Amino acid sequence: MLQITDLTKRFGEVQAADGVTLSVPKGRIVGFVGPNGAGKSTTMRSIFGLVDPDGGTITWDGRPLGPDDRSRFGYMPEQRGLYAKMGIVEQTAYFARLKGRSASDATARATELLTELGLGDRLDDPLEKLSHGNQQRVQLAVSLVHEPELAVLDEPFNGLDPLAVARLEEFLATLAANGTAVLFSSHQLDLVEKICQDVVIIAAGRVRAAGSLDELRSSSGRRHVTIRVERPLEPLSDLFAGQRLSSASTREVVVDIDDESELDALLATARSAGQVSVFSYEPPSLGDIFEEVAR
Amino acid sequence: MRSSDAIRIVFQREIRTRLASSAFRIGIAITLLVVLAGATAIRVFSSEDETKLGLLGDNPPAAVESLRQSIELSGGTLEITEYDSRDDAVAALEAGDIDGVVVDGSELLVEQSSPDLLSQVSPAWQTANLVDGLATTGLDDAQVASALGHAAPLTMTELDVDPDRDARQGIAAVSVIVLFVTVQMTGAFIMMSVLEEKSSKVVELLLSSISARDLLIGKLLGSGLAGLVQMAVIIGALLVGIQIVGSDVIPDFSGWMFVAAVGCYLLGYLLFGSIMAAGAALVSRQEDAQAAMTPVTILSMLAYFASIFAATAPDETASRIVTSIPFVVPFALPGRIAVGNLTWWEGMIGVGGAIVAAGLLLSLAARIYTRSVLHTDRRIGWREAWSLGR
Repeated sequence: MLQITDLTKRFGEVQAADGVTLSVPKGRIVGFVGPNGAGKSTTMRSIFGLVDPDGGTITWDGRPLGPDDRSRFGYMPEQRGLYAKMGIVEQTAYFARLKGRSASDATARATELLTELGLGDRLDDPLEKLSHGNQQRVQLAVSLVHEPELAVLDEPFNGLDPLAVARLEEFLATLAANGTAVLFSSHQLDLVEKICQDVVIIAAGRVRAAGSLDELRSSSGRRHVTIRVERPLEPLSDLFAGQRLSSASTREVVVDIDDESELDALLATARSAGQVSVFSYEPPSLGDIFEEVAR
Repeated sequence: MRSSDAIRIVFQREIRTRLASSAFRIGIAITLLVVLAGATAIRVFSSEDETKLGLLGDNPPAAVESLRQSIELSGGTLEITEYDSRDDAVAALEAGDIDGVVVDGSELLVEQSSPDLLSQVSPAWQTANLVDGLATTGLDDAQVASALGHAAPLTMTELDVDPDRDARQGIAAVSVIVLFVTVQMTGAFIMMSVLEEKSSKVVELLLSSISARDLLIGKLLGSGLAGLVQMAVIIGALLVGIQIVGSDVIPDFSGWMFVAAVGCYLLGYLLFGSIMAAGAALVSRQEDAQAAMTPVTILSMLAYFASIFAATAPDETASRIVTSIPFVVPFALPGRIAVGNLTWWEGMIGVGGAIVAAGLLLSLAARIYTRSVLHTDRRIGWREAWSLGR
């Protein structure tokens, strides 16, 4: 398990990380979300020694990180970059070797992974000959070729088309199922909600909420109730005017409530207007939670 | 991953990339072409010391024999063609088959005025004619021989103790050029290589696996060895070129020169290559590289001119002093060995100073490189890089 505790880092005037604490257990996918400049990249780069933190500790399986641990980690930087003129198998194998794989093992793994990612017929092409999407796949291959125990992916979904997004989702799920700890950052909350079991929300260098999605949902007071009446005696927007409304029209309103005990009263009010066709009670979306804590 | 493994893997990629790069191959091809073509041209156009002389009419055989002896004495050869008519001789002259025609022992017929040929040919005929003339005055052979005994040619005593001095100075100048070109090209390559990794951001990925220090060392070693290959090719081409020219001045000190050249190349590369690597780490874009490199460029040009000066005027005190400066030593030292006036203590001071300077610069470069190579957002000043954190 990766454990980051109380990480701080200041760049001049900017407090990029202000006591960041988070953990990534093996076999779990942890989504790291927050606005631009919130400290996601600084935190991720600290894991690889690319940033010297001002304070805090980072441990792997309870021990402080050493250079050897980094060869068990895979990293996909936010700013993508590879050798433009180097063949993709050669290139992927090179990075595997820098992680300690033997030459023959590295080439075999690189070939296998690139083929799995659909680049089997391009193995000897230099990177620059590939389309943007295919270059992204090579970037992913390079970070995972050595079968890391921890994968740290900074905005891996950036610039991917929907098909590629679906494939990457699948890929990450397989990775976690095989016991890899996965930490990935994203500002696409719907994706994070779909893929992750755990979420860390960061803003202005501070972790605002962390835990499993279920925990976050139940700890958040905010709930939506969608109420629809097809032929209301009175417009619902008027009927529920005294409530907190996310949206309101004649036939449908979305009411924000803090407590489940309010449900009965809401349903009674709705029935007074006519036959209720929709009464749905939803847990908050990640977007809701994010809005609530990152404000 | 151990440091040595990381360095080895980076080194292998670096040298493979360098040797496979078209710039490297084209560079070597051009060098080979220039050296070999130059040597061939020298051989073709250099006046071969063959005098071709025509004879017409009555010429004393003693004159021809005496001319042959004097030409062979100065290392040339004489080829004689006899003509029966003036027209034939003129035709041969105009065709360039012969350099001149001696007519009836009194006239030298040439196509264009040639004082050299006249001064070469004339004494032989003058002497022969003199002998004939003395005979006609009634002197017997013994008296003539006795008189001629007083006309012995001057003997030459050389003041210059080293007859190869010019050749040695030439070799010194060539060694300066070869070392300078090799160090510059290799330095430029390491600069490009650092800049490529920085501008493409791949360095972030590299440094997530290995330390900046190991990366830098691997890169310096890889480029350095490739540069050594390049220098070996150039020196080989020069040796072949000398064979083509047919010079017999492949000197007896060439073994030492070679060892010194390899050592000096390595020193020069460490001195200049490490600064250039550090300089490249300061910038993120190709366009900024030139400006960041200006101090290094000026420094290397100064060192180059000082070395050329030392090669052409090796005995000047100034030459001896400048060739002890660490940045000049790598270019100038083999030349001073070639010229042969390097004392052992000058060598020790020069090489020792350069080694110390290279060590200092290398650790300075490592510090600047590790601190600035991850800052891809802007250009960093040399001074700022020193104190930068990450």
